[in-house]
Amino acid sequence: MRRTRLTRLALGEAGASPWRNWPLALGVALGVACLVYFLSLASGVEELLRKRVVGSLPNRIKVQPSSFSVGPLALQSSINQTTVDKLRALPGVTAAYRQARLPQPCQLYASYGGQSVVTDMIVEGVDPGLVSSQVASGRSFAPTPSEPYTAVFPLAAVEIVNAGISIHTGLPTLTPEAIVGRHFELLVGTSSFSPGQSVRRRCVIVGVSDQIAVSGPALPLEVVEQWEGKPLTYYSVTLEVDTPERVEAVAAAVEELGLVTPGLEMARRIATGVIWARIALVGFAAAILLIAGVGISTGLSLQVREEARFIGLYRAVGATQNDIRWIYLARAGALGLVGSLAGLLLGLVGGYLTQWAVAHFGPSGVLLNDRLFAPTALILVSGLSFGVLGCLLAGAYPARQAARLSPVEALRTG
Amino acid sequence: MDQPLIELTGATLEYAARARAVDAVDLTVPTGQFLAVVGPSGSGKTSLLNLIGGLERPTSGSVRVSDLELSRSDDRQLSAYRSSKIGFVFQSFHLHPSRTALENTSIPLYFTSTPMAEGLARCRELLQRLGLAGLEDRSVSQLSGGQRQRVAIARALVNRPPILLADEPIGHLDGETASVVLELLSELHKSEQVTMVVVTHDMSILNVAERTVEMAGGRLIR
Ligand SMILES: Nc1ncnc2c1ncn2[C@@H]1O[C@H](COP(=O)(O)OP(=O)(O)OP(=O)(O)O)[C@@H](O)[C@H]1O
Ligand SMILES: [Mg+2]
Repeated sequence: MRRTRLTRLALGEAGASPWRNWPLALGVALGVACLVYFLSLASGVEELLRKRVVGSLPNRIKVQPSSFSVGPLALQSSINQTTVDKLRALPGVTAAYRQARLPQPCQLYASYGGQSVVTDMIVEGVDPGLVSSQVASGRSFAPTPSEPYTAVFPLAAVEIVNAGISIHTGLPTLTPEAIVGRHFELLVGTSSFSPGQSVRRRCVIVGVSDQIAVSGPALPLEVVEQWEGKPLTYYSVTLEVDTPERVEAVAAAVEELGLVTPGLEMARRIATGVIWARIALVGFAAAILLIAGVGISTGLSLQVREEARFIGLYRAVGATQNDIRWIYLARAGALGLVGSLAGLLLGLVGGYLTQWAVAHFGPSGVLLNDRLFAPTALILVSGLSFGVLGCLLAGAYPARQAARLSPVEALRTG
Repeated sequence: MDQPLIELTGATLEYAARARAVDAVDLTVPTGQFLAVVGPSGSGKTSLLNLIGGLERPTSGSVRVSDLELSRSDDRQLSAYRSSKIGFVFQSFHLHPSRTALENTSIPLYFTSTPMAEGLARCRELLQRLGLAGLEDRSVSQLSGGQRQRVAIARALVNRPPILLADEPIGHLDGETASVVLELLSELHKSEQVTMVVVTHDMSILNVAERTVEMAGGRLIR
């Protein structure tokens, strides 16, 4: 009640001469804006890297055989069905999706933007569950008895086409949505390096996935094994884990089986890298806030000196030392709140502008549907509290100075 | 005879060692008295008011008002005392120049629990009684010296204090304005039974005062 009144008194005075106080909030706004901008950018970049390296599905582990090098010889082993069964049996694992390469050479024929495209590819067969969540709605990815065969295209290949071919040829940018439903033909058994007898297979694209290899389209494993005429061995198995928290434990069990999880390791490296980047950026924003805080502290100190006469008057008509302290803390807090809110707005606007600029003027196809700027509630709340608490801290000294003024001395300064 | 409202016993205020602004003053003021304090510049008149008003604690001796011993009170008690028992009228007004007359008058309300609406009504009523009707929303910087002093008096009376301490209340005013303010003070004294301690050189006030004491070198000499 009394505090409410004192706050009104304090803010009324700040409001009476706004140009004196509000410039002090500018530094806070800048500091908070930097904090929000950098942290949101960092989490956007982390998300983006993680998606590119590990894939967009968080509770999955890509398992690969470990490779040994013996002198000049690099031995790459593969995973057989027995190992797949062992992996399926690990606690926490709900599914294991196999990936195998079709050993025969292969060429892809497609018509793209009115031009024919021919390119060598490596076709792989995957368990449908690996990509089922990324298949376009209304389509299915399953073995078909006859042509066209359903195929999924690697997301990275779309990006490579966009970044490389489209730029030089002026062909339209590919989007995942635009290529679904398109047909292409595979010449199985031939390539530009080893021409040979080939069989023509017609396929239809039913989805774009970041879970498969970048070297070519993926078809249902059953179909590919049929083409080959015999079961294949697997170069990679992707495990689905019931909860993301169990991923690390499952990864440890996988390593015990003599297999490796390269994506997970890369993810760990990205996470540490981003943490250091975050620390550096927060430090930078904190430095700005520190300077802003010093500005507020000296600004309020100056006001305390200029307003000494009124502080003396307030004391004479009944203000306690605590009341006076509150008045100046309230001013500091109000500056912090206004500054921080302005900073949040500034940071968000700046971030979305950056994202828009990268999407429009950056290398084409870099972002597709991803966010570069990913503000979270936590970032916004910590930006706000960082600004407000910083200002209260900065106001503590002048407030104490004001409270300690002797009323008689203060009145004499008039 | 009831107990005096204000009672100073050996009250001493020292700013520096041996420099006593108030030196062992014994003074009693009964409820409702109009007391004038005279004396040369630097004799300790303002310091005496500061002691009575609880703005300073005596270095030694005692200052008692009603049942409160000011020398042994803490900041909260003294502030509550100043808020509820004392109205100060300063020689140099101490008004906020960019605020209106009403805003200046309402300042003491912020440190009380009086409902704001009720307090503001009292402010308007006081300004009216002091002849400032219609000037409530005018900024103080646009008021004359006499009008400013009346705003300051209204501010001193907002919390209905039983004691009014005035330091040269008409010192800065020309003869005509001075007599208006003086009339007001004596009328307040009569109608509201306010106890007045007024520092002055002015003969017209001395004529109205019921009792006059004189200070010299921090001591009460008469
Ligand atoms: N804050 C202070 N520090 C040091 N000395 C002070 C202080 N305040 C007052 N004094 C001294 O105390 C003495 C009494 O001062 P005070 O202001 O009470 O005199 P006064 O009678 O009100 O004078 P005037 O008529 O000029 O207002 C003076 O000698 C003054 O210099
Ligand atoms: Mg004086």
